[in-house]
Amino acid sequence: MQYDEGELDRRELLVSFIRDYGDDLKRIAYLYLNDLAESEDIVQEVLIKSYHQLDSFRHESSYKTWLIRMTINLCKDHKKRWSVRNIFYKQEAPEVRDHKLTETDYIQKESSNEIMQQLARLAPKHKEVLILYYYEELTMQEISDVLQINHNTVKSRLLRGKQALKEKLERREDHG
Amino acid sequence: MDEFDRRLSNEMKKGTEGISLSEQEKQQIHRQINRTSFKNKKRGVIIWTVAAAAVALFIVLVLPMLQEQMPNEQSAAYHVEDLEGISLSIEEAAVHDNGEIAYFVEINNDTSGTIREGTLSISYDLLLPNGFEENPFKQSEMVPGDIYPRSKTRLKFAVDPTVFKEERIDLSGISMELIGYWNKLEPQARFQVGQSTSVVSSDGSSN
Repeated sequence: MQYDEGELDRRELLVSFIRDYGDDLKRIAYLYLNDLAESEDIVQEVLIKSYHQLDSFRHESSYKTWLIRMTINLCKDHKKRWSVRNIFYKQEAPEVRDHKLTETDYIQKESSNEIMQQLARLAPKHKEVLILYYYEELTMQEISDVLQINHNTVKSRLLRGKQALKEKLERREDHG
Repeated sequence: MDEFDRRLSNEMKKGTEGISLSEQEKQQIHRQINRTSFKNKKRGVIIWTVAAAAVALFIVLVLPMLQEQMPNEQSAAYHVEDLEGISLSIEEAAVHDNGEIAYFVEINNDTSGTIREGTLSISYDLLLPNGFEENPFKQSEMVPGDIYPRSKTRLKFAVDPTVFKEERIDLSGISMELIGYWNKLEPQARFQVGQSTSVVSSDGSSN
């Protein structure tokens, strides 16, 4: 297939996006949705969309910020849509059937799954801030840029989100 | 960061270990983009082809209409004022024994152009209860030769009034018409000048 110069540049950029950010974006989507299949769809859509929108990208933020923002927004849209797949078919992270797992390891793994599940059940505005802060390790300012919200709003959502997650986990622990 | 914060961070990272973009997924992305690019190019070509065809069709259909509506002044060979110097008059009328009336008509070309291929027509106006009407039946004679600017020509015209129904016509009301070309023998130069001897006076009676 013949490409013109502009198209070559875009393809090179796409390759760099896939290489540098692909994994991260997929993980962010997974943390948001707690669904591997959906996270694959989301990250594909993000990368394809970014390729087509490169011409209109205004460089007001970095590529990374832009891609993470797109991922979060698509995850939000996905959640809003009424999807039969979410009801009847929900694939979780692949279980590692390791018979050598000790009880401690097993409990720790279960606990991690629990956190992921509870995280996915948080309100979107808390969930996205927690993911970007604790997983992506962005600063408050960077989170503010990604989500295009006020710095103080980031702070308050982070505090409330953390509190909400804590309460959910404690409730689960109390009920055994 | 407190204990919970550290736990949260570690758990998120542990929970996403092993999650990465597979080769298959990367290939799928490139395939999708290739497909979309090809589709967009194809669509682009089709859209441009249809648009060009529509414009061409529009031009082919509308251009003749626009040309028809273009003001005639640009292609007219003369203005109305140019012909004001043309006049027709009956110099003499003689009745022959056979009932024929011979009219001697003077055509005066007091214009700056030449009258070419002229045809003179004469008819008697139709009598109406309260006036006159132009008679569609006329007798015509070709004007021999051209009538040059600022010159006159005399034409003998024989009319047989018996072809008309006497009670229907006004023998004193003669209408004359000169049709010809002014200067050039082309459609735009064709003209028509008429004159009638039926004059309605201010009191309504005719002369």
